[in-house]
Amino acid sequence: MDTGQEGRMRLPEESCTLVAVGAGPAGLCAAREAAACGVRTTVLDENDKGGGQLIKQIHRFFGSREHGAGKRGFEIALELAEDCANAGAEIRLNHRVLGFFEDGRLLVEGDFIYVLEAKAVVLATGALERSFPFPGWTLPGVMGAGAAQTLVNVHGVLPGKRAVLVGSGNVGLIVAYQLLQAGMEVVGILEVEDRVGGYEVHESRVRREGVPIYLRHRLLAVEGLEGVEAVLAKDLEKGTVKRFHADTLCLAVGMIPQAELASMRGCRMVFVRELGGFIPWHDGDMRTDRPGVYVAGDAAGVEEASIAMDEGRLAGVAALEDLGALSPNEARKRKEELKRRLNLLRGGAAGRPRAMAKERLAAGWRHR
Amino acid sequence: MKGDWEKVWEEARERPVALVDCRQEIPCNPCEEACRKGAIRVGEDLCSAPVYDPGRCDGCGRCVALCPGMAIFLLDRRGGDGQAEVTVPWEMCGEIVEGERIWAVDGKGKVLTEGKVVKIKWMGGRWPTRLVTIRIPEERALKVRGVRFRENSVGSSEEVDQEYDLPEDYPVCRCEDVSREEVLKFLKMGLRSLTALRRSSRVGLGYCQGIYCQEQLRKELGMVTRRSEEETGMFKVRPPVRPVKLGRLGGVNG
Amino acid sequence: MAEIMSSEVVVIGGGVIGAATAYYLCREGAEVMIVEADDLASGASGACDGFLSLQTKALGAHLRLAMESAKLFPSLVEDLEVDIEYRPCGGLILATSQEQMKELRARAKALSAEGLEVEVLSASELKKILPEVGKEVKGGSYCPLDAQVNPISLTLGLAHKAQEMGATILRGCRVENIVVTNNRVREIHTSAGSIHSRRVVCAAGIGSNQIGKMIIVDVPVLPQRGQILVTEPQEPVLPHIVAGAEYLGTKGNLQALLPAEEEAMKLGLGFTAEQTKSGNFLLGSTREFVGFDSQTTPEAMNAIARNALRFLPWIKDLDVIRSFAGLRPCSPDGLPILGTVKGVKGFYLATGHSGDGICLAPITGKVLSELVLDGETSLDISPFSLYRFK
Ligand SMILES: Cc1cc2nc3c(=O)[nH]c(=O)nc-3n(C[C@H](O)[C@H](O)[C@H](O)COP(=O)(O)OP(=O)(O)OC[C@H]3O[C@@H](n4cnc5c(N)ncnc54)[C@H](O)[C@@H]3O)c2cc1C
Ligand SMILES: Cc1cc2nc3c(=O)[nH]c(=O)nc-3n(C[C@H](O)[C@H](O)[C@H](O)COP(=O)(O)OP(=O)(O)OC[C@H]3O[C@@H](n4cnc5c(N)ncnc54)[C@H](O)[C@@H]3O)c2cc1C
Ligand code: SF4
Ligand code: SF4
Repeated sequence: MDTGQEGRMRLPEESCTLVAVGAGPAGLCAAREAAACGVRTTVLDENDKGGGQLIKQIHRFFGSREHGAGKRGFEIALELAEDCANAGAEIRLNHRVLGFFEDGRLLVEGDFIYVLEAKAVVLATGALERSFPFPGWTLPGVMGAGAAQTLVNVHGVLPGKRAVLVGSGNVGLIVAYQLLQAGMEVVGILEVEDRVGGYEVHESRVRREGVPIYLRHRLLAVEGLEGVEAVLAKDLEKGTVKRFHADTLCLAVGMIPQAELASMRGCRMVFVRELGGFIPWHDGDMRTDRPGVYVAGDAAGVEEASIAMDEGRLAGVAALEDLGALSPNEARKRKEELKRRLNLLRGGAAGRPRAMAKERLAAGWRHR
Repeated sequence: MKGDWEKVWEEARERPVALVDCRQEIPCNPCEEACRKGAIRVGEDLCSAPVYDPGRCDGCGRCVALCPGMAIFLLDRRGGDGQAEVTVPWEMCGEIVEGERIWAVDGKGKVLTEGKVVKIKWMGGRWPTRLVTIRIPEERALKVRGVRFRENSVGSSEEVDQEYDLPEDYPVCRCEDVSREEVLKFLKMGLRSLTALRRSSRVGLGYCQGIYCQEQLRKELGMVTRRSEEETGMFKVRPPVRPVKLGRLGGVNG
Repeated sequence: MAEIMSSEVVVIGGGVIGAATAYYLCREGAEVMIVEADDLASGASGACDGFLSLQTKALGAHLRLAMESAKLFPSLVEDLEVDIEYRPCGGLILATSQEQMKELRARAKALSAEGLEVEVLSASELKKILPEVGKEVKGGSYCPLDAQVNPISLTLGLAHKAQEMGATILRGCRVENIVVTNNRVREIHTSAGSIHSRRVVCAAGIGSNQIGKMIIVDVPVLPQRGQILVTEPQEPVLPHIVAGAEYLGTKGNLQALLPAEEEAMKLGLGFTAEQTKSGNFLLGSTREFVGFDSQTTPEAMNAIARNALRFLPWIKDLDVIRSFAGLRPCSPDGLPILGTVKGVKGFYLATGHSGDGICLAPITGKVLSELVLDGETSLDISPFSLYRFK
């Protein structure tokens, strides 16, 4: 390897007006708003496809027309990416943001390493699957439910033959269903609580396929030598231990907002349990406490794709307002409409605690 | 709700009608959007449960295909022979053909009866859903929520001895292979900050950059210090947040 | 109201210097309290390399101090309960030009004259101990006494042992004022209350200037940022600690060895590489005066990576998983500031170790303990007096 000439290359620098980090629903929607307003906009995503979590979702989505409801996740992803590009945003896939520095610059790895500077940055980096240690958790065959979903829906590979899922929230229920769709057997879903976490309709669809849901069962351990052979769970009612024969264990125990970049940038981070953990503090318009830094979607609190879209749009509008690209009046109008929709989306029993948490944030003090 | 179903039951004598089984507050309204007859209404408040008027339904099946909750079905009793045709959305990848025998199940997955597939129809946009119609004895028809080939559920488990000993030597941080015991050792030495605990125990210094083990370390520390998550804080984030090849970072082999 | 504490000696700072001082004081039976604003090794001592490098020290007193310190490490390995990952591995300095080779040769001679064994290696001799180096590398110098340690474990190990011997460690406790009456230290005010004590050792690293102000003494210690890249772990492949000649240049401000590039000059770039016990490569480093900013920067990350590949091109496919920066407590001449101050009895300085604090920690702790308890030291520390400046 010759480290001679090109080794001396300086770090290239580039600038644009608005950057969205993450091409999930939040990032794409933020960028679309900005680009449609004539602002030079770039979207960066480390994936080779746009759409974030949606590209691996083959089920139809909740929401309303503005969110592509009734369509399948990947279909919504395609449409959002297309809209965003049509509006004039540049979507750079396979571009990973490595750092977001206090001076506002981003360090990006694309085909090469470069520095990107923007007047407004929308962080829409989504969330990560939560995991926790237990005996056997490092064995092959133990994975996040989302990882299993990527295997079956994106790569067309089955992680195994028989799966046990942990967690009966919507993600656990949907992934269980999708594993069945892909041809796997689902031995059961373990749930510590005494009721199912997700929506009844999702619960019902897995039960119809004959998948038992074990309430008040705690995952104890995974057994196996080279991989998962059995899953042990404790029946908290009876105090007994059950062994399930399976070669795959999928954890669907929640998501953690992925907000490292915000933290690196110096944004004030707050812990909000209802929203999944540490998130950058943000006001009702998705502004963080750092000028020119916005956050939207799961990175601002784990919720749903439809909410991510509208939060992205809101962040886009707020950025446009701050850039002077939208009149205050127009900005206010659009923000009001988006907030109205967000309120509706968070209107149900599942959404209300999140709505309250968001309100608390917006009312909260802005400076350290 | 019961009243609604009675109406569905009645109407189904004349024509196929939808049976909407969605009672929770879900932020969702494709059923309303799907129905050209205005038979389903969610209204302004997205989270309210759909209000359905069987009288207006013409049994087109669009809502059945589009409902993300797979919570709408069709009931057809026109035969009047004690048999009913029930249509359910089917999203499995496998084969299903007319004439096949299949189990009809209720919302809990309990088998109701055996039925025969009489019709399969693809509906619902670019990536459609199969609507599977089965013929079953009328008296079970209102309860049907799905069909499946397997009669029994897969789930099976065995009881294990009460005395079962859990292995204890598993890592809390898989990248650096650090056990909980080791973490406790450092806590016992008196370390009280997340950063110091990370630096010394190496939990969170690995390839994954502490994404997974951070919560665990915070929990252990919080238990000792009785501080909340917020007080305990986060790992200091340093670039790169994703691993990057040294050559890349140095701009050498671009 | 916070309680009033007391201690025979208070050590300000839970970095490697404070921990070493406490350790040696405790060995002599003193009653010690370490007051640390954050947590052990939260300052420079937790954000640095683990070079115990003798051949990089300034000729004269600095080198002698380091050589004495080096002798103490094996006893620490024995005595401390924490594995400090000490590795007597020898150290290399690599030259990328004939001029640098000339300079290394001259230094080797001077170092040998002071009793430190250093061998100059031609490019082909170098190959025998470090098989693959960059094309630019013309040779180097090798010092068999150079070694390596894990600075965090060292700090922790020293503090923990001190604690076992009776020391108290106050964490999250900041020294806010020092009360001097009749020219003698009496009391230390901290965020957790007051401590009665007649003896205070300032080992506060970059906080030392602030501490000095409390007793109206100017302690010229400035933060100097050093940035480091960490790679994913590898099988052990790097047998020695390795530095580039320019590291000597930027560290000791040696004209002949300063980097040629303007950008590198600005960053104070000098190549260092070590492989830790866990297998990670630590690649360094920079020397920048940017106040208390301890962020890493894109320019430095890029420059360090690029520079490292000049010397070790075969590590280009290793993943960099992290970067970090530490603030060296830098004195004007890069040498530590050790000893008493005029007019304030019971106040001792153990600071300004710049880029050498890990290496110099044991001897610093030892002589400071002698100074505090006996009033005299077994080694002449007058060259490190605060009053050498101006
Ligand atoms: C199994 C499952 C089922 C779901 N089902 C539903 C559902 O039915 N209805 C619903 O509303 N919601 C559902 N969701 C939730 C929904 O997918 C998310 O809420 C939504 O995708 C969040 O959008 P986002 O834009 O915030 O983040 P994401 O979609 O996660 O997108 C974030 C993007 O950021 C990129 N990124 C992150 N860090 C970097 C970096 N450093 N550099 C470059 N790029 C980066 C990632 O590659 C990713 O593409 C489901 C989620 C899961 C896991
Ligand atoms: C990148 C880099 C690489 C290095 N490489 C090496 C190497 O290879 N070999 C080597 O020998 N040296 C190296 N060094 C130098 C070495 O790290 C330092 O010299 C050494 O750590 C200094 O130790 P210290 O205890 O004086 O300071 P610190 O470790 O900074 O400790 C000072 C402590 O005092 C505390 N403090 C400050 N003010 C107060 C207050 N008012 N009240 C209470 N507490 C206070 C701080 O919180 C801190 O914990 C390197 C440094 C850097 C930055
Ligand atoms: S079946 Fe057709 S008409 Fe009847 S409710 Fe559904 S969409 Fe409307
Ligand atoms: S589309 Fe389905 S899940 Fe959504 S509200 Fe209508 S019936 Fe309920």
